[in-house]
This record gives sequence, structure tokens and C-alpha cells, in this order.
Amino acid sequence: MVKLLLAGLAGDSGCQVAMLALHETLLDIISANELVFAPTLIDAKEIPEGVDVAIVEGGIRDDHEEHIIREIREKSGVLIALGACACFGGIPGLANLRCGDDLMNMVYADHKGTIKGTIPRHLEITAEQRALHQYVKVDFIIPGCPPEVTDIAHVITSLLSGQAPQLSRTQVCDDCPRERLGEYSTVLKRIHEEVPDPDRCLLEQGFLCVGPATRGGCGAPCPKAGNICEGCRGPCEEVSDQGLAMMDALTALSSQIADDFTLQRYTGMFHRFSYADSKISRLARRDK
Amino acid sequence: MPEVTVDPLTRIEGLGRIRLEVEDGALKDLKFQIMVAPRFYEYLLTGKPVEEAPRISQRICGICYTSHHLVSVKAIEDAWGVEPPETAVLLRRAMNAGGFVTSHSLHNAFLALPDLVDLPANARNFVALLGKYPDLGKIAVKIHAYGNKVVEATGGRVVHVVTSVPGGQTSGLSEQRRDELVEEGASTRGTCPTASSTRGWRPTSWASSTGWTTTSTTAIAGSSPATGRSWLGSDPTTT
Repeated sequence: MVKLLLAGLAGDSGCQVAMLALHETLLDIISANELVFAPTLIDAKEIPEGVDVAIVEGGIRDDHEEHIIREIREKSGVLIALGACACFGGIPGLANLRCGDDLMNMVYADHKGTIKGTIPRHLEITAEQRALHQYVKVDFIIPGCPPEVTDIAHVITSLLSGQAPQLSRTQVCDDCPRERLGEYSTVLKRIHEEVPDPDRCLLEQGFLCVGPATRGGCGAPCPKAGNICEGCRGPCEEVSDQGLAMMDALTALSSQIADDFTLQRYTGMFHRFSYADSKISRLARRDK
Repeated sequence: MPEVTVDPLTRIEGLGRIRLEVEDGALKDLKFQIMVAPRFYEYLLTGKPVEEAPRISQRICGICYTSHHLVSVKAIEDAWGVEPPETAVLLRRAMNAGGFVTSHSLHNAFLALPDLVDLPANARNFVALLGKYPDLGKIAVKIHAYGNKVVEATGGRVVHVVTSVPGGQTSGLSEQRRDELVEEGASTRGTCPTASSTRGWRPTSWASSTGWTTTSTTAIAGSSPATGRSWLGSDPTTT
């Protein structure tokens, strides 16, 4: 019987909801093992010693969360980062273009929608949203926003049976049924500007699909549903920076695309989920 | 002055804690703190192409994400004065309904229900619920799974969807899949607890120990005993 921990930090609990979608499999895992700390499911208040497998969702955005992740790491044998926020910082990492104190003022005091705002003082905001591995050693990642149910099941059941889990080493394009003809649109299109051909590669049609730079294994549900890959599974196995890989691919494809190309505008599009953990953000940090 | 701190609050979405002060047996003060760090969506959406809003804003919450997704799209369409086609509106309504089913069944079954049934204070959780009332637990899982299927069919995936864009939907729903979902919906509804089958798990002991009455539970469980319909199946417009 393995002692399991499930916790959520700076994220949206969506990964834990995705875990619930395992339904019977999850119930089997929980009943065959011991859930010792999981604030969303059970009432335990203290993180006990001797946790075997800790599954943590969400990134780190304040000192409280930093404290929690260090405590979990100290008390756990294996730490799994669940989801894009825990693996790469996730969507909240897009706020890293400004420092934490500025953001607090902006959102709680100066924002247009804020009337007589007060800045919350019970939290000490960190300068940036960060991934778990930027604070502690992470043993395995289950990327995605949300992570695929099959990946969650695979990683947990592999670990429980003493085997090392293997993530897909492909790119999203490998899972995508859309046809590539090698002919590219010379203009970039926004998703509402044109109804894409349902059978052809979205990127070839000029829609900014991040599939080529994104880890596969998800079955490409988004291009199958008619929209671009947002890049939620982070960089492919052999790629160190998802956004740079995507920009590299684009500039190689067509110099015409570069006409309307500014880094500031597109940062969020190529690094939607991985900006906090990107090389570009490290350069930006050095400049601050 | 005696002080009680509950940290962390459990079986909620997110992180939180409460601190209460008691004086002469009466509650003097109660503080509730949300411990989830701000994620600054107000800032990180600013300056982005507008079609990013439905993609990004749903990451505020992994439980009610369909609402964030749909509201973002509606806001853009309002700003642009764009009317989506009727089919898109119907698909969005179905998505919203699916989101409603997953969100509420999740809250009810996994977070709230363990407090409402007769479980010991140290084991009020879904695992214990499933041990004591396995049928109830399985029904909850079934309802949740059904909601997920509706969201996946209309939104492209579950927990964060992709199909709503300004002006319409990026994918349709085949008649076959629609009919399957309608059929499964009816059968899922048919397995929901009825007034008589829920009698065993009424919160009698919990209610009497706290001085609460079971009126509200009775109202839920027995909302339509005359018609013999399950409470989930009762039409809110007629009750």
C-alpha cells in the first residue's frame, strides 16, 4: 500500500478535475492505496512524514506555496508535477512580463474594474509565477492543460508497479489527422476570420497552430475540433524552448509571415503555457 | 479569548483558511482568507488578441471553465455586434448544460455530500461515502461522467474546451452522437435516486446533532413524490 498525496497550488484545480475523470480507475487507485493528504478530497490538515508519491498541481506564485512545495518535497519519495502550471508555470506565467509588486498594484488598486481596491497583505507574492522544478527536484512530469487522463493513469500505475513512466516523444502533428501538402498561406489568419478547411493542416492555412513545437500523445483533440493547438503540453522531448522552436519553424517557412511579426505581441501565443520556464523569460529576467 | 483556526479548509476548490474567535460561547469574529495566489488574469489578458480570451480566461477555474469560455466569447460578440448562428447557440447551450452537470455533480458528490450523509466526523470524504453508500457514490460518478461526455462532444475536450470562437463554433455535433447523448442522458437520469431510495442516507444524525432540521433535504429528496419522478429529473419551471 502506497501513501499518496494530492495537492493544488497556483493553478485552477482543473488537473484534479481531470483526475476525477479517471472515475473507476481513480477509485481503484485510491482504495488500493492510502490517500494521506489531499485537501480537495479528504480533511487531513497536516502533510504527514513518509509520503511515497506526491502529485502536485499548480505553480508557485507566493511564499505560502513555496513553503508548501518545499515541505511536500522533504516528506515525499517521488514528486510528480501534474499539469502545465506545475511543469512549466502555465498560463499564469504570462503575467511574468511584469514583476509581482507591480501586478498587485495594477490588479487590486489601479485596474479599471477596481473600485477603492485594497491590496491583500496576507500573501507575500513572489516576483514571478514559476514551475515546481524551479524550486525543488521534480521526478516526473505529466504535462497538459489539462493533462490527458490516459497519461495520468499511465504515470501513476507505472510508478505503483515499480516501473518508470514514459511520456510520448512525438509532436502534436503526429497525432493530427489533418493533411499537410507543403503549401503555405502567405498571410496569418485569426481563427474567426475564415472557416478553415476541415481536412488540411491549420498552420499551412495560416492559423497559428503550435502543434509542431508541442509534445504529442494527446491525440490532437483541438485541431480535430476545428481549433488550433494552444501548446498546453509544453515543448516536445527534444526541444528546450517551445516558443523559440515555433518561431524558428515559422521564420523558416515564410519570410512573408515576418512582416507583421513582433515578439511582444506573440509571446503569449508561442509560450502560452511555458513562458515562465522559457529561455526568453530567463533573458528577460537578466535584464530586470 | 479562545481562537480556532482551520487551515487548510478542505474539500473546496482552491486554498483557504478560516480563523474564528469565540467569547462567552458566542462567535465574536470570523476571518476567511483565500490562500490561492492571485494569478493576474486581468493583466495577462490585456493587450492580447481578443480571441485569446476564451482560451485563456477558462484557466481561471478547472471546474466551471465552460462558463468562462462561453462568457468570454459572448463578451467579444457583444462588443463587435456579432450574432452567432442558431446552431452555434444551441451547441453552446448544450456545452453549458454539460458544464453545469459536471460542475454541480463534482461539487455535490466529491466536496459537499460527505457532510450531508451519515458519516463519522473523521471520515467525511468521498472514499468513505463510497464505502458506506456505494450506490450513491457510483451514481455520482456516472452523472459526472455523463456531463463530461456532453462537454467533450460540444467543446472538443474536457476541462478546458476549444470550440467557441467569436461568431460561432469550430465544430458541430453529428446527429448520431447527439442521439446517443440524449439516450444516455435519459438513462443516467433514470438511475438518479428517487424519494424512496434516498431515505437511507438522509442526514438524520448529523442534522439532529447540530439542531438543524431536515426540511431542506426532504424538499430535495421528495420534491416530486406524487409524480414518482426522481428529483434531478423534475423540471424546475413546474415545481
